[in-house]
Amino acid sequence: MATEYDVAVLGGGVMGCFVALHLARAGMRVVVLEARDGLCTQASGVNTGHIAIMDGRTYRVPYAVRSMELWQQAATWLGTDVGYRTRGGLKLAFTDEETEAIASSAQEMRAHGAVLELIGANTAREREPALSTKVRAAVWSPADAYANPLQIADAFTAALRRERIEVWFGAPVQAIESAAPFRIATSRGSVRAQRLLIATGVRIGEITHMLDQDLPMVCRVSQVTVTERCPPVIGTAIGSASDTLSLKQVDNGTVLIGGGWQGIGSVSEGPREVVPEHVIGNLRLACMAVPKLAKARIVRTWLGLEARVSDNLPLNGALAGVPDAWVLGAVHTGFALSPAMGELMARVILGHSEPVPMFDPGRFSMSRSQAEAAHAG
Amino acid sequence: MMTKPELAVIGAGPAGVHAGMAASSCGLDVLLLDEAAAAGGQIYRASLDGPLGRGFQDVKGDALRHALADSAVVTLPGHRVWTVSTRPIGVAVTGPGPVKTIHPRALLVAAGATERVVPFPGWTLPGVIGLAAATVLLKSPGPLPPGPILVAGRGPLLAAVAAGLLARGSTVACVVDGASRADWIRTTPALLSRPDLLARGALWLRRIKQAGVPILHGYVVDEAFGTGSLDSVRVVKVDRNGNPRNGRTRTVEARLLAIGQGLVPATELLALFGVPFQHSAPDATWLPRVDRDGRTPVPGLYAAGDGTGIRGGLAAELAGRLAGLAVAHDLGALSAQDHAKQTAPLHHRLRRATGAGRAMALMMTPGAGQFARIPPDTIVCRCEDVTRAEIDAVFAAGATGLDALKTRTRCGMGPCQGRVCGSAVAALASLHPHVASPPRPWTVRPPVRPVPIADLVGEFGYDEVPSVIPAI
Repeated sequence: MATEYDVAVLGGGVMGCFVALHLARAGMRVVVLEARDGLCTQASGVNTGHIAIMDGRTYRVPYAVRSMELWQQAATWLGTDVGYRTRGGLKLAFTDEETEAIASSAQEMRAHGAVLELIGANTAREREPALSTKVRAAVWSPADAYANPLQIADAFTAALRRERIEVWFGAPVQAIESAAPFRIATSRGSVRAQRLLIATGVRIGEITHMLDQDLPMVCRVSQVTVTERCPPVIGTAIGSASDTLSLKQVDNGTVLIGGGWQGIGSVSEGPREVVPEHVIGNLRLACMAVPKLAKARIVRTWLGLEARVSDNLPLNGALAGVPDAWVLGAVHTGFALSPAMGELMARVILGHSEPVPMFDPGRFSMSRSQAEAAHAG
Repeated sequence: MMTKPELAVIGAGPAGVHAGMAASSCGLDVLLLDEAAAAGGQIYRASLDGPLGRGFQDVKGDALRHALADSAVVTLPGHRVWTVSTRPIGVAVTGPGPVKTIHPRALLVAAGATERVVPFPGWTLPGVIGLAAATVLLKSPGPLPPGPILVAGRGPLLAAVAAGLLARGSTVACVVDGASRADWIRTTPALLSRPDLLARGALWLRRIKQAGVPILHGYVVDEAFGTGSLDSVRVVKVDRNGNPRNGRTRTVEARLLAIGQGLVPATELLALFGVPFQHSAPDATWLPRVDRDGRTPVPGLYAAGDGTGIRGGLAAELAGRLAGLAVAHDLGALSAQDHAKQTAPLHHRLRRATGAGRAMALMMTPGAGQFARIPPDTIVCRCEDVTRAEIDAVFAAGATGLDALKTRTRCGMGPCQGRVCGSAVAALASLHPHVASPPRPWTVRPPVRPVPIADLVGEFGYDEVPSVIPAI
């Protein structure tokens, strides 16, 4: 027997959960349909928790700034601080070309509200004494931080329960009837909802396909490595000009090393295996930044599947050709930006904000039938 | 340096060495890796000592090492696998020299076993060591820790260690055998096929009796006491399920407690390769799927020895030879006819050896009561100091599996990655009715053991950091 909701949120990761909270607080009747046995088990729960201003392109800066504001207030609206710690960040340059690149990047980003300071190697080492002598320059970002993804699942479970948002676990979506109200069939029964939010991460493409829409999804398989607990050696959140390093030491003393180095896996088989050369490459880059790290031992390298679309820009807007259906995901540094991205999506759904054209899922759009017609013609 | 041998064998214990030699005798190029400096694994670990304490294992071990040296097998001692690749099959290793990846046509994993740990109050005190660790001590140079020493646990290693310590002049306070006399009587028929083992066991028992060392049958360690290090141990009589019986207890003064609760197969490598596992209730652990010739369901991957299930040294040797012959057959170096001819007698002998080996292994399996009795404030995960009470709280709050335990308590996230606490955690979780019994184990990820970053990165310049295009 299907009950009618104002919105069905497909996917219980950080994106879906943030929007669910916003919409419930705005008075909507919300159901979250999650394929797994818990919230935030996939990319949302296995990333490094790195939250930095200069981690990627300029477009994301205002969302990083807004997300940091929201993360800092998490205790009030999420019920826990999720281990958020402001440490300041250093984006490191090892060559002259890299120094030029981070300098011009920083300048661009300042125009979007970021507080960033280009500093020389010596100043950088004052802030982070363990930095290697190979560092030429750095951009200092005082707002950079990290949070603990391991805490996010319990935080949202409690928060969604407090808002009386219904959550179905072990309920992968099997079929969707197109016209609103949507009738969504899962392995545990059906729901009916006026609106649909597709926030299923690497499975976004599967769901939009059910609605005759195809998006050029890419599945990234990102590796993260962690050391055993170490004495304090790194105090800031470190990144690189190449945008392939995230390095920090968290409260329990372990050092997390990431940066988007790829392992092997796919949507259908899941994360399969680690590529040794990429672990070594990632670790070498980390040791370029902090040579002392070579003394530590790694205890685990794991993999997370991350959704992207072909242009690497976020999906945050209406699903073309399907009224009242929305897509949110494929966000580079999704965990970090989830508060602002979720806020934007919710405001768009509620009609309080205009969608951002750059994030429009319709930018790729061609339904299957249109694509076939185009090929035939 | 061979990075593309026809067969690479991981582990130079009896299974790995015999597998390598069998394949090599069929003409294959074989590379044998082990983290130790010499072949022999744990059971035939080369003694660094002089003749004092030499016995059965050393004679067999030396024979093994000589046979290996006389064969065409190329050995890579001091090398350790840190991760694997599956397509094509391969292992990434660290060792003296830069890291390398080996891509053989066939890979055989003979990684042996590790100690099963059953936590009890005081088990993390300095002065408490495993029984297998005690055998390593016995084979090492230098003086043994001062006594009195209490030797406790189950199975044949108990008497071996006690007798070995006595031969080295240690004071053994007591042997505490978790198996009752009835358990031994029940097991003896299965051991009749191994008169050599029975004779050896009888010899150890005679030495122990002659030294006046009491043997307590059907007793287990209840608690270890000491401030800063071990002072004494309380033992208690138990029934077949490991539950206290008759209220009989004793407290024994001891500075060293060597305690063994059996062995579990070291299966990380096979798990990384994606070999499917099945839980075996009698073995109280998950076993990899391997056929009678050592083939796993993963093409090109073979396994043999205690790493596939605890069956003892003779079974390991025979299973190793069978697996080596299977590789030779599968790579075209041995005809089907010759393969059948050579393997038939080995299968026969393996059946008999397995009977005895399995009987001993089952004796070493602790009863469920031993886990159920762990007091709430006892540390279970020693990497992260997680107590039984904290573990129970996670399941009482509704968690249905081990992943939630990990994220909420960090249990299993330390350097041992669950190798030490895994048995106990699974047993404790199973006591909660809404948790699957046994619960699905934690996903194994590399590295197989903690590895120093220096060993992986080596010497390098910035241009030796691969440049990858970020997806931003």
